[in-house]
Amino acid sequence: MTSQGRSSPLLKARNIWVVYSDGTVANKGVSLTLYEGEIHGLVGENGAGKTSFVHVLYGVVRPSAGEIYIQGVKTRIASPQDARRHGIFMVPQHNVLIPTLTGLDNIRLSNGAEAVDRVYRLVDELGIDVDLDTPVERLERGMVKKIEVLRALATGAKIVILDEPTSVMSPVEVEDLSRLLKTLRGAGYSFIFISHRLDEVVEICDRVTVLRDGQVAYSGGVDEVEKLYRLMFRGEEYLEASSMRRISPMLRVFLGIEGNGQEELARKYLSGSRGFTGYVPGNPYSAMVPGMSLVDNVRFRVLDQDIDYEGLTLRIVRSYEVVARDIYTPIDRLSGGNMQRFIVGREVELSEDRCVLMYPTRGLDMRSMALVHRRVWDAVERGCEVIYFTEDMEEALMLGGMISVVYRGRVSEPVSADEADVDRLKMLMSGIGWS
Amino acid sequence: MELSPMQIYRGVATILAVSIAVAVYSGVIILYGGDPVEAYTKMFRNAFLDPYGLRETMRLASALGIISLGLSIVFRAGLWNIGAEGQYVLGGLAAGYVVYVLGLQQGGPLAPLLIGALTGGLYAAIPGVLRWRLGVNEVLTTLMLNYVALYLLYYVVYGVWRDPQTGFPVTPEIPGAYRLPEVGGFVGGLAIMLLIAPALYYLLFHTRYGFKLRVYGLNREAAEYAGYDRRAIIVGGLFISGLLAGLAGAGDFLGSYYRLMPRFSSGLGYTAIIVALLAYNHPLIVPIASILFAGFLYGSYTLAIVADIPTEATYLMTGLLLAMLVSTQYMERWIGWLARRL
Repeated sequence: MTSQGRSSPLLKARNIWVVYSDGTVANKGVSLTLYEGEIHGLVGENGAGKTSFVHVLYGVVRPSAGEIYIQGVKTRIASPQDARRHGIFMVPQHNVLIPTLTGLDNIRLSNGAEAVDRVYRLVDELGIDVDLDTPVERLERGMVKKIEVLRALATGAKIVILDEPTSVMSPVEVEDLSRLLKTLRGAGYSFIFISHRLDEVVEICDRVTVLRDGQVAYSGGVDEVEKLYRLMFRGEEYLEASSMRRISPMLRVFLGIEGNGQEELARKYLSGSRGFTGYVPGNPYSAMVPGMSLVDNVRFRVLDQDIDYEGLTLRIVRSYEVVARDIYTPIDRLSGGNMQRFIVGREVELSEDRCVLMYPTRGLDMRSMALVHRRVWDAVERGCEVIYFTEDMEEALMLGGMISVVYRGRVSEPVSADEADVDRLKMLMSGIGWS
Repeated sequence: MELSPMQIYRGVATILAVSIAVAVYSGVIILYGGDPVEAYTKMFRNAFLDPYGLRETMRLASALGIISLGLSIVFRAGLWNIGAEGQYVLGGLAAGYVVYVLGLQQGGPLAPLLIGALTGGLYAAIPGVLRWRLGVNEVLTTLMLNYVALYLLYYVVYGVWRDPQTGFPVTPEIPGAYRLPEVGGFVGGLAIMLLIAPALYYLLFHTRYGFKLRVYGLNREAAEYAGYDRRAIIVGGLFISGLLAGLAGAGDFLGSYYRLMPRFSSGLGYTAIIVALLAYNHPLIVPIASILFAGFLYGSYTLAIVADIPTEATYLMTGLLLAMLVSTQYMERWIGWLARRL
């Protein structure tokens, strides 16, 4: 059952703008309509504006412009408490239940005894399969998510926003959650389902809204899958301009949204290398020592080797255009971008035969990104194998090399960047076309 | 070298902590009808200008300083050894064992001193191993082991080692051959502290091991990322701090009390935490901080006698100071937030 054409919309957001104090424009006139008994997918790349938009609905972020109507009545949502009063509840991406307590105790603790009754009624009436009597820490993540959904309903929510609920779930758990949501949909509850994974969205959702660069690129039924993934990922624009992509088997690019098995893949590449293997972890802050100078931040990495640390530091600062007073400046004095370029530079320059870079340009501007790409190619040219992880297709195409898509622990056949079929990459990234 | 924002915040936070503690202590003096300025002058005179007072201050400072030096090493690694008190007591007990039970005469104070230190080190290594192997929080284990050492002390002073001549719960005074000689008119411990401080400075800032300790303390994840050996850092760091606490205990036994008594555990091991924090866990600042703090402690004791201001006020201030210094890390964030606003 789809809910299109149902009587009146439950929630209607019109022309929402979100401008942050640093000038970032996250939403540029986003509109979305949610009907009663609907599961509405919200998809888009990282940074497309999904989170900002749902934060507006949940009263976390105040929109710069735009209106929200709940059951036809114009409503101002000033805080999450306010949102809950209006029947909107958000289930965050990461577990917020108390791990040592059971699901039931968690619900009782945060919402009182009536909430428990309401959950029991729901479970009985709809025949929901959920374990409420085991401490949450011993449950699988899919089960925990189900409890969080029920907890949301126990507070009286009619609309539940699920922020990437499936990002760390196995396919079986996803199916299980999907069953629960469909059952609840039948009982009149509505959901906004945020995901990167189009295959799931198609399976679970009635309608979908695609955000891209803060704007709605599509809103409607889920039957035109092909159109959806084209819209979701950028990449086209770049395709024409880049006639001279460089290719080398020494540069392996793994394209995919974080959490699709990249960690395991990186670990595999980190072992079994002879010389020093450079490594930029997904969180670069775990690769630096705040309070220590740039030189010491190089030294700590290769402490037991005799290296001219000062000279190396100077070289990194120069060739990665790190803005710092001198190499004895504490690293926490640098801005985020400079810090990151420094860490990436250190790892690339130290690498002997292999270098593993996880999202090394995340958060960097285009100029910095191009700089990192040049240095990566320098490393490849001196015979260093580079394993490069990125979430951004545009970047992968720009960088060149041999591209594989990573999705749910699977890795696609590598294709050279100059022969890559953009549509095919998009499909694979969103979980479609895997045999 | 340039100061990092972290160091600046910490400096401001320390000044704030000390000011608040001093203000509260002044308040207590006023409550008792005293004049704070006069009281502080008197404290300073008693602790540093009076020859007897100076000796006492230095005696206190050497024990405090040696313990703090060890703590400064382990705190740098981000590990909280709260058990210096117990390690100090056990160091004294082990030295007592050498003197009273083994009767090892060769080398005079050297054997009991070294064995005392080593015992303190091994005692602290137990929480180290628990932390390294099982992830047991060292705050709890080090703290709990203090009581084990304390009751062991009571056991020997009230029992097996009690002086049969007097019957008081104290052990017999040790023979002169065991006694730590005075150096320059002060307890021998002072010389030991002044020798150890630069050595630890060298260890912390000019060796790879010290570097690894500091990295581990600043960002544990980064230390693991760089592949550092956790065992060497955790067990080794706690061992060093226990070694010095044990040394201080043995030193006090051999160099200033010459006997063990229930009050041998007087809370120095806790006070040393404050001194280490006041000195930013820097081995070259620790001696200065410990002399100043010992002066404050001794001065405030004399104040209790001459000006009727209770010793409890001293405990109030040291407790407050510790609480303020420990919350420094939260204040850092707060000050940083404030600095960004201004």
